[in-house]
Amino acid sequence: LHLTQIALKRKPDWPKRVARAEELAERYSWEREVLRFYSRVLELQGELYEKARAASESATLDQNLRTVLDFSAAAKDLLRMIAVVERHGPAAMAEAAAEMKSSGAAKSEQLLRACAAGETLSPVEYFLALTVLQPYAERISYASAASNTDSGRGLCPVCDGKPLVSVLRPEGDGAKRWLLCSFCLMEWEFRRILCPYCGEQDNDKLPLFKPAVDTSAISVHACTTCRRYLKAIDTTVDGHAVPMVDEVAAGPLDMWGVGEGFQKLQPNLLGF
Amino acid sequence: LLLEMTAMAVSRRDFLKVSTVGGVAASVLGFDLSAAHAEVREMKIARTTETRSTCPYCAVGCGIIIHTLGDKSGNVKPAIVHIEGDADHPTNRGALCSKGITLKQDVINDRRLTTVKYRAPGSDHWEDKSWDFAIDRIAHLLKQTRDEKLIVTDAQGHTVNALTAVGVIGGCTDTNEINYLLVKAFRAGLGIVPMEQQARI
Repeated sequence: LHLTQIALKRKPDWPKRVARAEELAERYSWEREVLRFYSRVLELQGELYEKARAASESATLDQNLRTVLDFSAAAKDLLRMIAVVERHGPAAMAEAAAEMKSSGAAKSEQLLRACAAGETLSPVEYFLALTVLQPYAERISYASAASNTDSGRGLCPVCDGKPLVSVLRPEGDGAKRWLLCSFCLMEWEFRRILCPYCGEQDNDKLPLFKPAVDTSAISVHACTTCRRYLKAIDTTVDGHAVPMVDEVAAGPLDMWGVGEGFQKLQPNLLGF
Repeated sequence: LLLEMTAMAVSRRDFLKVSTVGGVAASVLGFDLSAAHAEVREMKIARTTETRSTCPYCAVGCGIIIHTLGDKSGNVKPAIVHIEGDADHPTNRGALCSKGITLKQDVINDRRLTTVKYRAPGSDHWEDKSWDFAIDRIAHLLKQTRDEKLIVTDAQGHTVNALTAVGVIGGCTDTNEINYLLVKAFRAGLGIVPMEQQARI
């Protein structure tokens, strides 16, 4: 008898992610260009997720998620993502993306496989491949019986992806910490006072830095031992926050963190 | 293999690399970051630390997390800014009762006693005293009571060395080590029989 423990999985809600990006673009002038572009990317990702969902109502996973993705189906979507970048992205990025239009299906698939395997790609190649793969990966991590309970590892239990952001969600009269996977977007349980990169547990070495206003739901969770940090989105402060979008909107905190000599554990899609 | 699988596709050197496109600061993908850089200069950042502790009220011993503001430098007095239930604690999983949830008010409260108060026998007012005074006073009364009340032998003549006129109460935040010392000092040392814990009060 094999029992897999699964903590609550949140249903992927792509329209909500799009709406949040548009809302934050209005609110934060310094990230407007980035968030407007990101909302167009999220729109297409939502369509890809629906396509993946329609293709399989359920998913099984008995090996690493990165090896079982439908790369040939995803390769066909690469051109659509290139079109979004050409239309809405900054000029240099659009130019680099346009050059990839002539790649055949085989080359596109090769690029996606390279991204899934963690090979070094140019920033634009990485962006295009990851944005196309994320919806397919999330479909499997969400629909399969893959466990997301706390194993004490700082890597995604489904795909070994690094965490993009910490998410604090209400639990009793406090907040429980989840880590959001940068690759398959699944959240998994993780202890509060513990560095996901080096395992530091001394609370004096794990400071939190946050804007000195009570209403701020975002902070920098740093580790002075390995000098890495992750941002954290506290949904007990802002219940409307959508972690993967709010994380992008808080770019200035990344600049502050880097200025203080910390290194982000995992840069986001947009390179911040 | 796992490390290779998860290696960042964008190299570390690329992270937040600021290049110049048309004279403005730009991200690796070419986004204009000049407004965001201006925002960084305006930001005021506060440093806090999270510390695990135990609620001091009842015997359940719920886990709490105390948020302390301050950068640990000598000239800044740390201040508690928030206390919440510890979601990782197996006893309460983040939940707190109506007393526990108000702990911050217990710490930061201008009516909190911060000195030893003593009311002498027959007196009608409280006096501020030192800890040395309090400890000497307790020791004196404890010895006096033990000298007067220690039961050395029972009715059948068995040696018992029992002191039932003094009681000891343990608190929920006491650790195993503290409880060991309590028993060693008071039961084995002084012969005190009534030793209790909060849950049965």
